[in-house]
Amino acid sequence: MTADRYDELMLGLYRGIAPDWLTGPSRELFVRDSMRRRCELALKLRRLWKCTTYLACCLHSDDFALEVFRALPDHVSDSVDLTTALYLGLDQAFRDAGSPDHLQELLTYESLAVSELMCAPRGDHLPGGTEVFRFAYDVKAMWGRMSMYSTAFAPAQFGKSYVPSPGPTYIARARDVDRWVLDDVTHAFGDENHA
Amino acid sequence: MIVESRTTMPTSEFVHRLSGLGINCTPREAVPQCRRKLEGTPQAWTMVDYLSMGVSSKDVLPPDLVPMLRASGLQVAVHFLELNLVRPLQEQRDTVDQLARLVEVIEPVAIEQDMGLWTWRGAQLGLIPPILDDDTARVIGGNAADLQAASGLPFYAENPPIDFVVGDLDLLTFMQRVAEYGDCGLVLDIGHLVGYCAITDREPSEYLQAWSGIRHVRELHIAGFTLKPDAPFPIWYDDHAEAIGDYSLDLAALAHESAGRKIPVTLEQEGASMARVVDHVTRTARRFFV
Repeated sequence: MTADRYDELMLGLYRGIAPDWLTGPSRELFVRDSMRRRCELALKLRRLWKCTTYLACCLHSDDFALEVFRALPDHVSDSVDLTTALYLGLDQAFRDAGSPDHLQELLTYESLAVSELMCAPRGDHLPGGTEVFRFAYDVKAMWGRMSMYSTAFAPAQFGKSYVPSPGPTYIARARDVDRWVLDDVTHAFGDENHA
Repeated sequence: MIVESRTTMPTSEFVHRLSGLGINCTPREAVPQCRRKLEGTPQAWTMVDYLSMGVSSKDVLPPDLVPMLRASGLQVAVHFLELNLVRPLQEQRDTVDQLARLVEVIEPVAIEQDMGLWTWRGAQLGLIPPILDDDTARVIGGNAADLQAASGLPFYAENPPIDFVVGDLDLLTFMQRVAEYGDCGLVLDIGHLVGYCAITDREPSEYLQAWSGIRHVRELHIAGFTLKPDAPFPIWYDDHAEAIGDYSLDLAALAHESAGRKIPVTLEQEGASMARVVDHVTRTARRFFV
């Protein structure tokens, strides 16, 4: 049925799998379009999660983005836009890969600033309706170091050998029209326990 | 399903009121466009006859849109942005009903949409072009007929950007079947046609000249383009911010000649500088309508 073939085409575009029934020049062009679309997604990943994607490539593989694209269709729905689906795909890929805690915290930290994200980033979100997130590591220092490495296209060994400093760090965010403004509020919390 | 039919007129007897030169815009952009038309500033806007307004079901219309449209005298064609014409409209009831409510407020002279799959599992991940086969032509034709019957307005199905081809029909044969199955009109997008020809090794002017379905074309779309050389042959991509070339205007002239009448022309140029837009409007109006 034609409708089912659209599902196959859409899944194939984002997972890099051309349907068996697509042959000849059409198949070649389909593969090309799949790579073009995934290049656009890769650009978006790098733009919104620059440090996270750099460290993920260091700790897992250069092809880690392919895992995100494979997970992407599972998270698409009418309450999720492409950016949010990418975030959920990243999050799922990290959990499936057993990524270390500091990489997952880096994802949460960078996600706090993504204005178009339609869900709250997964993380230690303080209760009581606040927009304050607790991080076990010195996430700002980690972000600063990974920012330098990613901008310099530093060798993967640099990211692999990085040891994050312990936290905690508390980051508050507030909405200012169409963007999030982040604020380090660690001084206000110290390391007190939270229910 | 859809709002109660406003007319019992056979669809083949629609009066196609869209005429002259149009420019595309969003509902928000339409208000300043109306103001430019009213004030005649820039002077080129005196040659603009209609707006092709891209509308999605979640749009909130500016409160002054309708009064400004009436005052300016500009016609409107509403261009839907999210319907999947390749799937039954019954599956998209909520979206169709929301669009119908917007159409009732705007009172356009025509409605239109690119064919293909726009929305997948509720999200927009990038268009998939229609599978070019007879089954798909029947589905789209049926949807076009339903939209016409429900709105009382002519519907025009547009050829979308096609970056890979699936199906056993060529594009223009497919479009002709859609028009015949749905008793509807067509938008012929010149740039999208050239892109299709580039990947199927066809010469656009010969292909267009040989097409008997031109009689169904009620609107042309023209835009700037870029060529991407990352394939065995350059691939033509619409780039609405780029300059509209003489090649595109020549193909539009060929379409007019083949049809034996002046087909309305919409300039798609969001992102283009004002100087470029003024140049496009002036050149196109003088070539076809002045």
